[in-house]
Amino acid sequence: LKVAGVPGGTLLHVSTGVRLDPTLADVVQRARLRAAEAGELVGSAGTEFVSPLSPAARHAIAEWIVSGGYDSAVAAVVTDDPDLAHQ
Amino acid sequence: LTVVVDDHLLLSLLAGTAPDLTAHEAASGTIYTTGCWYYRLAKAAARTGRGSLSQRITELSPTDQVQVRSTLEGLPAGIGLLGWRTVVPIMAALRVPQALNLLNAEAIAVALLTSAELMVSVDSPLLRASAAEVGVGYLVVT
Repeated sequence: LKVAGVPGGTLLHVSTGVRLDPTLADVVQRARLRAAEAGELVGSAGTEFVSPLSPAARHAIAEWIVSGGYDSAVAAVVTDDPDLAHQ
Repeated sequence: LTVVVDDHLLLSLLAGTAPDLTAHEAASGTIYTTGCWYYRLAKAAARTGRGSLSQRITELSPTDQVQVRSTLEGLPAGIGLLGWRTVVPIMAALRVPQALNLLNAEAIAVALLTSAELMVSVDSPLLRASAAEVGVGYLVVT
């Protein structure tokens, strides 16, 4: 496990040399095909994501985050539903 | 780079306040989230009462209120979201040392399918360890 600090975050980058269990690898490969056939995969890199919200709406959400409102709401949600909790 | 972001980072992307690393990936990479993270975000946003999002957006114009609700009810197309039909078989086939809850199993499965790294706002030791077990990159951004 390689641990490195990067600007704005902490990179805990795992080895790329891990070989998946063959059964799991087969399941993943079949799921990729299904996802592609179903059109579930988003476009390739280079398409910049831009929030569709207006500046006022973005500001309201940003204020909600900064005030701790989102974290409080999530805490209430995971109390009711442990399957949505960090482990 | 393809990344799978958690609910907090997803919300910050919508708010235009994502941390630099997340914003960079949104500008140049491919972004996915998971059904559980989206569900957690939607449930948190649907709460009412003091300090809730619904209370805050009442101060917005009717048009902006509709925009916020419609964005949360149907994520922008630029955010990838895979269905259970696709993801559940991978979740079921995962073999990691410690049992994962639904949230973490889906996160690992989506990252495997999309060959992505996980980008989260809160470090989860079990998710981190499980990601390492199957060779998925794991990044905590604040």
